[in-house]
Amino acid sequence: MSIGKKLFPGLLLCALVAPRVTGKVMVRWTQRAMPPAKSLGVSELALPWSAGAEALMDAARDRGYRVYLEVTPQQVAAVAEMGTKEGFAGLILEPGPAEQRDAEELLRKLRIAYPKFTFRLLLSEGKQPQRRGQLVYERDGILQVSSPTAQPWVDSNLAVVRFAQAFHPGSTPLYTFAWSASDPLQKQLGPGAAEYALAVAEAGAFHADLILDLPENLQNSLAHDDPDAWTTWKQVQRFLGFYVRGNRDSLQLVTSVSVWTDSEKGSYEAVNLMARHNISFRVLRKEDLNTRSLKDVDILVAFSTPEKEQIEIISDFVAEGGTAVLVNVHGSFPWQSTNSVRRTEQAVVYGVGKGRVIEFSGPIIDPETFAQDIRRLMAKERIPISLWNSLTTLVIPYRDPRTDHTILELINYEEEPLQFQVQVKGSFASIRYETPEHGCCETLTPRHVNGFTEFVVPNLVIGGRLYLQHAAGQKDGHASNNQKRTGDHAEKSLSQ
Amino acid sequence: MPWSKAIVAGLLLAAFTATSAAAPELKASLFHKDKYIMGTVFEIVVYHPSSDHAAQAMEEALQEIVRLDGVMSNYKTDSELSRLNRTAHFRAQVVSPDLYRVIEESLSFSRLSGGKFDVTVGPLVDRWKAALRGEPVPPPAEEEKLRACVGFEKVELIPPNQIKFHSPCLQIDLGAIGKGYAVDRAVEILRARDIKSALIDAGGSTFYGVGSPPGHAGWLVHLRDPSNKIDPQVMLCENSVSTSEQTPKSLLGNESAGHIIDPEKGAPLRTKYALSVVAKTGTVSDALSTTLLLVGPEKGRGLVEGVGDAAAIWVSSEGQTEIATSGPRILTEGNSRSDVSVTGSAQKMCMAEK
Repeated sequence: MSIGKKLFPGLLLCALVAPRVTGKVMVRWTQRAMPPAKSLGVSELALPWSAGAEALMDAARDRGYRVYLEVTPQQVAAVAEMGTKEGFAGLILEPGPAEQRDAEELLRKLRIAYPKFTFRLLLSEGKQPQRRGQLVYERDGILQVSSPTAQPWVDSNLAVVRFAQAFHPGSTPLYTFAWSASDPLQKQLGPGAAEYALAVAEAGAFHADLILDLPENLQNSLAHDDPDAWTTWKQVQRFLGFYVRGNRDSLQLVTSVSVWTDSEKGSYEAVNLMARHNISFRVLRKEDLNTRSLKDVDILVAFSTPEKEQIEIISDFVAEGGTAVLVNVHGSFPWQSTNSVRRTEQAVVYGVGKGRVIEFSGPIIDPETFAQDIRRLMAKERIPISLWNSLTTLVIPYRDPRTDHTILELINYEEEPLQFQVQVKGSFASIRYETPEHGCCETLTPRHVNGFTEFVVPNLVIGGRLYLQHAAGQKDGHASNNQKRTGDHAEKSLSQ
Repeated sequence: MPWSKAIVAGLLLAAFTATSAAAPELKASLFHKDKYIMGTVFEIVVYHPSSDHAAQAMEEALQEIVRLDGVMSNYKTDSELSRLNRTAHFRAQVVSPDLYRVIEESLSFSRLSGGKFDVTVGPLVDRWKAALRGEPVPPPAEEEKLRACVGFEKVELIPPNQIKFHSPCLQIDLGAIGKGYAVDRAVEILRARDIKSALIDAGGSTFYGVGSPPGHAGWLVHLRDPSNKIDPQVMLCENSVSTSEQTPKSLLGNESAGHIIDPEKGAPLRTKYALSVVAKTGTVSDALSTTLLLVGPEKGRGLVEGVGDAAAIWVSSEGQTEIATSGPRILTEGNSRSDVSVTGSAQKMCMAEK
């Protein structure tokens, strides 16, 4: 799909008073010919390490790029040694699936051995962001399966990013993906401007970094000044500019759910579906569960088995009104002695203090229903954000602690103009909306209803950003859940 | 959807080779287009020699569905249906031919089903959808009040193009028929563009097969099987299949919610079945699927025979099946599928029969 007609050429993005929240995009380049960095609008190239990589590296440096080399764990030491005289900017480590666990330790050692280099870990589980249909293309035809009307499926990298933020703390997640073409026409045409733009928008909205894979024909066309290729790329540049690196580190992710887990195994699909249903969550490693990490959290989804200290933390959390959902976790726990018990086919619900503990005895085999259940468990009056009539949009809420303003990043995987309604917890006096296509900023009209602010997003094509500000001097409950929990969960759950 | 596809992929396979026969039309290539409309994804696949022609035809068909969404949506406040729902209580309203026709067809199904199929059930659907989102189940008094708003006999059609509501709180919701109607109109567009081999999918719940794929007697569609044991299938050729199933139960045991409402009881339907129904048009299969799920297999048999040229299969999560047919075959395990791969002549026969 071409978005050329939807974009407004020549629009300059205005400088924003509020901070930019951004992701860094590197372009993966494999062809000898390349346009200057200034023209491409990208300062960093990722070059896969291979026999011809040194010549490519020279060409890239001549064209004004900072060069990163993509290497395997087996190659990394030798290439790093060579790099002390070659002068590339850094190495991107691509561990195989079996090497993921050791990658962090390898990076630590490399950083000590080669302190002048930047070392990045590349997440290999990335997938092309897209809204998908139901039909599956087999080698020789189509697979079609009837069902009740299905919601549009969204392939996003949010779960991958959230796991990386937990398991590789201290570094911005860096991922890449291969373009997936499901039918002959797509294979023939390759990705278009909208697909590149969506990839850039997604990484930017998630505050992650991306290596964008460009097909060889686009690389060569750009290098040889093909006008069509540059028309495409100029549309992408608008998104690169919109999501440029800023002071995103100062922004805090607003979450109401924490997922506590040892690994992605066994929890990935549940987390992926939570992301799909716009449940804002963060992932906690086993060692990260503490009273502080549960502050402002309504629901703890636990895939790890708690030990004595963690059992106490969970007990305190639910006693104060929180909901703990234990998945396939077995053992004797204090809440099991309560008289307030309700059993379903798959779960046992214990009323504890002002909150509740829900134990699922087995793994989650229906992550879609599980994610919807998590959404239902959220107290209505405390849901940070809801969207209506936009099943192809993900929203990522952030808060600027310096100003107490809320910033919402929107990504529409349909890549078509969409109007929809938003409800945000808190009372906001000013709402400004900017997009890569239209720049900054359109003022939206808020409506205040029962502690929430409601408004209409008039036209989201791929990416957009909302700035929600309180009236001067006002700082009330905002999209983050920093209010005291109301503590009626036990009563609610047991009366279901 | 990775997890669900992983579940079905092992069971289901449809291999349509475009190379096994020698007819001229087999030079056609496969083209695909999809779009998010009516809260789901409509997909069209077309076999045609020209990519430009196929792309244009698919785009026009999808744009027709977009147009109809603007007519039939009850989510869009500016849709024609929303305007009708706001004003038809006061006086008869002039409506477009599409809205008149789809409501007329809806009312005929209401009469046929003795009120089990009822597009005026909207207020109850809205309330129970809220319950699905976690809001409290409506108390009996509220439910009773909402039920008073429901009743297809309170909708008056005034030919040729006016509609009036005889209830101050009646609301029409075309969710149980609108997608099927849209599929039929899209089929008309494709036919008008001389497309002879195409499949339209409305979010997985309604398929229509135009002609057949090259070298095959029809479009093979695997039907919903909550037991994962039966693998029912149907070959579509100038006909449609629709599937209905109640919203899955919450893992937490909240069984009181669901999006398919029994108008008689004013509450979500309780059923162990998933239901698929084959019929001549998308409108009929879509409306029948909800109706037959509501009435169940015993009463449903008569309806299937009454409609004619239809077939239905009820499949429970335990693998219990009930089949009713007045023409089309629904294939299940042990019911061989010898007609899947055929030569071009069979494909032409599919076209000739129509």
